[in-house]
Amino acid sequence: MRKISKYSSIALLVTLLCSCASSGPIRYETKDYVKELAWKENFLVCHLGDLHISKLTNFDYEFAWYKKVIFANEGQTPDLIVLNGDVFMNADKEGVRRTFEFFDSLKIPFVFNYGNHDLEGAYSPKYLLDTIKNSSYCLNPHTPNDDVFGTSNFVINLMNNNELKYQVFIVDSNSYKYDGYDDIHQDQIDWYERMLLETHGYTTAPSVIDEDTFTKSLFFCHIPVREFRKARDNFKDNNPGVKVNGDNFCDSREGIGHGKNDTELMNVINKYKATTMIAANHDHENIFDLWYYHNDSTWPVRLIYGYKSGYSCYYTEDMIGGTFYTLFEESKKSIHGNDLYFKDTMIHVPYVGEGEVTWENSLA
Amino acid sequence: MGKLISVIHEKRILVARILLTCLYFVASISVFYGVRIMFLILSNYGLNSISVIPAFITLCYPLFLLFMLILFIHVTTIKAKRRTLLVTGLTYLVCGLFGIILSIILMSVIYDGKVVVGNITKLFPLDILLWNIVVFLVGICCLIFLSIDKKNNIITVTSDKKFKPLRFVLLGFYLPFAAYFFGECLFGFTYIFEGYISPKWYGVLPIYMLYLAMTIGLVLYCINIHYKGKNKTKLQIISTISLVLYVAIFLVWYLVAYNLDPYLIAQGLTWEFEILISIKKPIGYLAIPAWIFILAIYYTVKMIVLKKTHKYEQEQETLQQDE
Repeated sequence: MRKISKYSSIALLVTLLCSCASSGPIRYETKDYVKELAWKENFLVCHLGDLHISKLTNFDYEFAWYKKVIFANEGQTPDLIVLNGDVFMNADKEGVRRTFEFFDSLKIPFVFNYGNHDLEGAYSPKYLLDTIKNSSYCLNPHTPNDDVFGTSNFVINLMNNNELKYQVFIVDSNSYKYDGYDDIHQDQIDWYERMLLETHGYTTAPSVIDEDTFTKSLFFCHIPVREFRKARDNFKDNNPGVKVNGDNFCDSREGIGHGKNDTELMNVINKYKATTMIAANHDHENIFDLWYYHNDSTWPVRLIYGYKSGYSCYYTEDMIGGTFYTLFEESKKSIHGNDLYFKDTMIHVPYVGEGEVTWENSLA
Repeated sequence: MGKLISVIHEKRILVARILLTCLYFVASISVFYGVRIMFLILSNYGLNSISVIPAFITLCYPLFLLFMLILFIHVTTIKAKRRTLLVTGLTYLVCGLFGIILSIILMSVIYDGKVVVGNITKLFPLDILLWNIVVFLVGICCLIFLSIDKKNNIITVTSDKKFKPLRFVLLGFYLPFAAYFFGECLFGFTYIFEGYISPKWYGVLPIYMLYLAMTIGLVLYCINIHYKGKNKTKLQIISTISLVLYVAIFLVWYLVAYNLDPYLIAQGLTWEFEILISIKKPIGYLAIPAWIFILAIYYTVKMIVLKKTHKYEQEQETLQQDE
């Protein structure tokens, strides 16, 4: 009896230890990563990035300016605001709280995407997550300890009754790896593929994929992918001293701070022909909207550097403002004959004076 | 009041130690926040820095007071003590006045007459103005005390130890670093009270142990210089070796963890952005170990010198015994 009791104790201890060891990351269901908004034709997305709110921010001035930017697109109220990373840098809890209070006060749904600087402040990551969770109008889902790298990975489905009309992917481009910028990880790309398939009712990729198989989507990440540099260099080499060529616009005044490695992201995007653009921020003196064909694919992905939206950190006076996307259910032709699934409007907004459109797609 | 002064005078060593310890804690927190503000200025490329300068100056006061108090305690002539008090008083007077003027300009010009803006601290810039008024008054009090002392000879000298200026020059460079890293350590622990423990605790723990290294060095140094027992040299050897080993162990631990986990700092220490920046240029790896090794070299040289003088004393004792 004593021996049995002794072995039982050991077995129980081992079981307990194993159960502790096995409690790792959680694999959430697709629905846990999805939030829904009502679709309407000409759904307007306002893209802000690199706000760099810090302890030095004069909130009265800054918030008044953000309001000006958000309504700069002919006074229209956006249907969704995307805060695409580096919202905070050297901020404190008070700054975080006030910022979320401000965006909640607008009563416009918004999403918060992490940039490389957002956690560099006098608050724990838990505080920021709790603030996001408690915000009335922030759509970020709550998926703690999930099995996908990064924090802000989720999808906004734009629905008309029960029909999926458009998607907005928010993906965490992470921050640093050793002494360089990190990339979007493979498990995040696998997650993107899984979300795309399962939100359309698929468990595996369909055997035939064309441009109508999946609804169209926007893809937001803070740090640009390596293809941004290829697209920019290609445009500059072929269009020296020129900012506009057809549906391409490029005003690039600094380098592109992308991750170190090539990723499979563009290959997956090309495979499914759903995502029509990747929008990034991160480098404050770049704004562009370039059509990119990855590895001679026929599926174009527009690579968009959005405007820096704030006076903090480094900036150029004529390169601050907001970027707007007017979404179309059916593609429209541009005057250059390209299929546009959204109209991109880049608006420079000075501190004093009205905003002016820097670049806009022209529809046929 | 007279009784209080006499009690304080009797227990002066204990009072001094308590005062210095408390002041070290305060100085650590203020230096830490001062460095954060400095990074704020740098990361904003100098924009709006004028609004931060009064805060930065104010945060330097506790460290200055700590150093001057240490100096005041250890100088061995009344003239030197008076000079220390004069320098402290004048510095506080001038800096306090400068801080008051800057704060008023800030409120009236930069912040359009607002007394409380609340961005750097909740009561900024009002709290900075108030602190500078206090500092200005402390400066005046120092100078008033000095004039009273000249008539009444209140300041006394109780130690006949030789004053060693080099020690205080080294301390002047060592103290800000030790205070800053101690402040980092204190700040990091506040998150535990918020219910947050870094997911990379296995790599973060050695970093916080390294933060404590310079303060431990300071404590060991104080123990050594005030040690009155035998085998002082042995104590110094043990202290030096222990500190060097302490730093070596935790540095190796951290480097192994960092090489195994490329996201250690990016995910485990996100609020320590100073480290992130300093690691890109590898100053971060050297900052603490460099100081500890300087301390070790100082002790080693001192021990060699002591050993030589001790040998000389032994010879003298032997000669006297022979006589």
